[in-house]
Amino acid sequence: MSTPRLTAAQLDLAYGKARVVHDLSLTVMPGAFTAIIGPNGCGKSTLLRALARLHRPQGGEVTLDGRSLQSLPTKEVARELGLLPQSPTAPAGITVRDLVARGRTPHLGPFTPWSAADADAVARALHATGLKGLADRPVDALSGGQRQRAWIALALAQETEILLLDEPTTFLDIGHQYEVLDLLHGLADEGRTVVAVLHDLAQAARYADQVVLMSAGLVLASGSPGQVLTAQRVSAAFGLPVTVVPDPVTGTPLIVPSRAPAARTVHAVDVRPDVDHTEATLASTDSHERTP
Amino acid sequence: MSARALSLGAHIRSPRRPTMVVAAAAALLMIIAVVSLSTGQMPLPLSQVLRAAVGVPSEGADFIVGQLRAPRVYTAALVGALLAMSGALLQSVARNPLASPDLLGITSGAAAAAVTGIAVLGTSSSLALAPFAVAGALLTAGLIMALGWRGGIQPLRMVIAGIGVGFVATSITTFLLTRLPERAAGQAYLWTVGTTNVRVWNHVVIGVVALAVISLSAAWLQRRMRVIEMGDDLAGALGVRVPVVRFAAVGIAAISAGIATALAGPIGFVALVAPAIARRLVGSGAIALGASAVVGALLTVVSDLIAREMLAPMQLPIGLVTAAIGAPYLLILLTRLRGSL
Amino acid sequence: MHLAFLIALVLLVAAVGASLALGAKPIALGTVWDALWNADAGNEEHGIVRQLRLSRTVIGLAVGAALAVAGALAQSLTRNPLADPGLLGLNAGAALAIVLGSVFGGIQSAAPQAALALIGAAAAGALVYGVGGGGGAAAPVRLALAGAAVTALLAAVTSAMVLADQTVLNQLRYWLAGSLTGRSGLDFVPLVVVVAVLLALAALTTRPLAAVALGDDAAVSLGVRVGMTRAAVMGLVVALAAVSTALAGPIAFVGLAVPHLVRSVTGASVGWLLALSAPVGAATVLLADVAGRLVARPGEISVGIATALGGGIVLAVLARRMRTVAL
Repeated sequence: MSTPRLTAAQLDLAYGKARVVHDLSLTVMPGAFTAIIGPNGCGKSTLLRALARLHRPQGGEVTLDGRSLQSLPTKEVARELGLLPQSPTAPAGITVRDLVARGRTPHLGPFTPWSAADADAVARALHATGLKGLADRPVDALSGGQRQRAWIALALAQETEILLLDEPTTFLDIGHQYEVLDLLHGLADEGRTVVAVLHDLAQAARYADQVVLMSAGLVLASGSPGQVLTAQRVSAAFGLPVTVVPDPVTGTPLIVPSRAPAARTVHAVDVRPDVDHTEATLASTDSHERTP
Repeated sequence: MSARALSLGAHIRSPRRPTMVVAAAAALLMIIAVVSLSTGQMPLPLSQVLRAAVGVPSEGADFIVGQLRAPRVYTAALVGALLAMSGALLQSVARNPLASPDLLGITSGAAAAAVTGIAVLGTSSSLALAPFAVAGALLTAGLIMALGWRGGIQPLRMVIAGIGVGFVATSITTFLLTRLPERAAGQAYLWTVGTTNVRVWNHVVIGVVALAVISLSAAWLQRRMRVIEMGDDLAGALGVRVPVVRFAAVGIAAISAGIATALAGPIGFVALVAPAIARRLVGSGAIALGASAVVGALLTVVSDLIAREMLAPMQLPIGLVTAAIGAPYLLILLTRLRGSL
Repeated sequence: MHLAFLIALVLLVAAVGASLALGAKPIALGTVWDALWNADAGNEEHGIVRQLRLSRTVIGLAVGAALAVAGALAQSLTRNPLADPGLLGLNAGAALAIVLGSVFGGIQSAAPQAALALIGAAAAGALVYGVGGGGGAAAPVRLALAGAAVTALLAAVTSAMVLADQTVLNQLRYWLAGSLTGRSGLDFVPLVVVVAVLLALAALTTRPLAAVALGDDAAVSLGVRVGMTRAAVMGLVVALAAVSTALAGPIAFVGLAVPHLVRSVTGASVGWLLALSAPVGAATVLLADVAGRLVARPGEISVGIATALGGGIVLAVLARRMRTVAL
């Protein structure tokens, strides 16, 4: 295992007077997929932003290779850390290729011309995200999942070892969510360090190597999904009594509420659609999306 | 949502408030009008002023007050009232505090049409030009509605279209003014910025008639528009013909702005500011035509006084004063609306 | 894209030719060529070309390129399809500053006027951006409204100044409507050089600007200094607008219309947008000027009015096509 490069030490993060993260220390596992989870307002996005150099710490520091992030030249950091921002908006009408090409910015000075190496990096990023066929389409014409992949491709074109993603699956259809997660998993497999803020606990359990559970600005636990996602910890963090069962497919922790919906008189409902379209729908989706 | 709640609440809590506001503002208007009539390079005793103001012949005051100041002040008041009502109607239709005939290019369109009228008819009598101005206003209103229409009235889109159309209209006006004979060049002020200089009793008469007619139609509209403000669906369910009322409102707003422009040029910002002040005074978010009219009149009479006296004997155009008052207001409004616009 | 650039250059050359050859007295192109390179002091036509038309052509080139690029920069930076130096009040601020300088300081020559214009444009721009800036679904409209408010105010003050003082009126009346002929002599040449320098600087901001157009977070993670880029680009926009106003008076809409036109060909690429906006903008202004000369022979419609007419139409069309949030 390679040495950890990105760490946070005694981090204090605040918005104005409101302190969001308290004295937080964290070592990001290199070459692995780390998921940061926790209830809304626990500071997980703020933590990610601090790791991405978007939020200046009020106390403590984030270090990259032992050097404080704030002290490093911006361009140098940009060559090491790639970011998928939360709800990114692309300029109107921009094509996928153009968008991804902007990921080369940290490698280009004001007078450096566009070279074959840059074009190669873009091509590789498009290939890795399965967007080669869509490269000349406008980004706003893509589906949610495809758009996220385009932004990830931008970060990939940056050719950074570390990728930070702020809620990459929020607002996506379930199919697209897993599309993105599979991609991230593949990237971690290649040896990149992937850190993502996720809100779905089961997804974090399935995909992450390291899970960081936060609550109220503190890290409650950090470790493998099995270690972190215990009934007691999740209940404490989210304020809901839960039961943890093994995921029937992967065996990773699956969180379900302990209490069933209140009993009520159930009126028998007879489900009998006039025509069942399920088979036809399945047949058509098979022939669509999956090809890069 | 809160505006609707407020309007319902205001109805329930103090139904007399609008009346009180109108009465108070009207009283204030009369006082300021008298002050305005009495102020000037030649001081005159109050009794003479008052007599001349209502047309009773009295020596000394008769010419200055009767022929110079009174028409000017009264025209200012009427124009202010007409513009304010126009703005109130548009703001209610658009559900947006930024809608007003000047920002939507309607007054510019009216001015351009009026100047075209001068070129065509060779006269600059307000009576002759009024139809041109009204036609111009209606045409412009129709144009921006059409441009801003996308499955319904889209106020922001309308505003953009309005700014564009306004620029086109202003450039037409500027161009035509350079083509007109020399004497008309003095009209440049009138048709680009708006002025109450050199108004005569004809103007006042036209203004009074217009105001009367428009007030009557506006009263009919107001009740229905209050209902529409609570939501199209609810209004429909209560039996209000929403599209008809809307079109009527925009039409009357355009006519009102057109006549105001024919009388004193495209005076800006009154139609924007007065209804907002009126709404705040009346305490409900709903349309308040009567209060708007009086506040508008107040605003223009004060502006006219400032325009006349601040740098006497040089006369500023009233449009400049209203811009000086109104532009900062618009800027403050925009700042405050930042989040919710 | 390279083809488009070539076409734009050809268009520009044609516009220059038209500007030199056409007018109240049409002059053959061959004569124009002679007038430029082998001038004969006695030849009347050579005189027209050199004395009258050459300077207005050069000014038209500079102003057109400056305004179009300023608009392109502003639109890319603010992600606002309605950004335009005229709509943002920059031209009105510059014009007022120049008028004040003329009325109170008797300042007539180009360079000091340009300096005043810079201050006026910067002040107006700061006010407009301060009020109407920021994000949100209605940001374009808010900015346009702030610009309209500030422009109305400044324009009113300017007309009051001008109409109050007869001498100023006579000197500045045509300039205020936007005209390529307001400058006599050669004192405008340094300003044209300044425009060239500003355009070169604009080219340097291409890449950082492309990153900032992706949003602050993305830009920072791409290693771009967002604050500095913003300040530099805004500074360029203000400077270009100010110098342009000092050269030819307040001309609106070139900065609005040309980038939209160009973008329909170049897409969202910032580099090509800037590269094509300059020649297309210059050609537009020159052609508007020529049209103004031809349509109203022997008088002319000033460039400012022609562009206001055309640009107002463009704005109205944009209103139709905009994706705005319904209230």
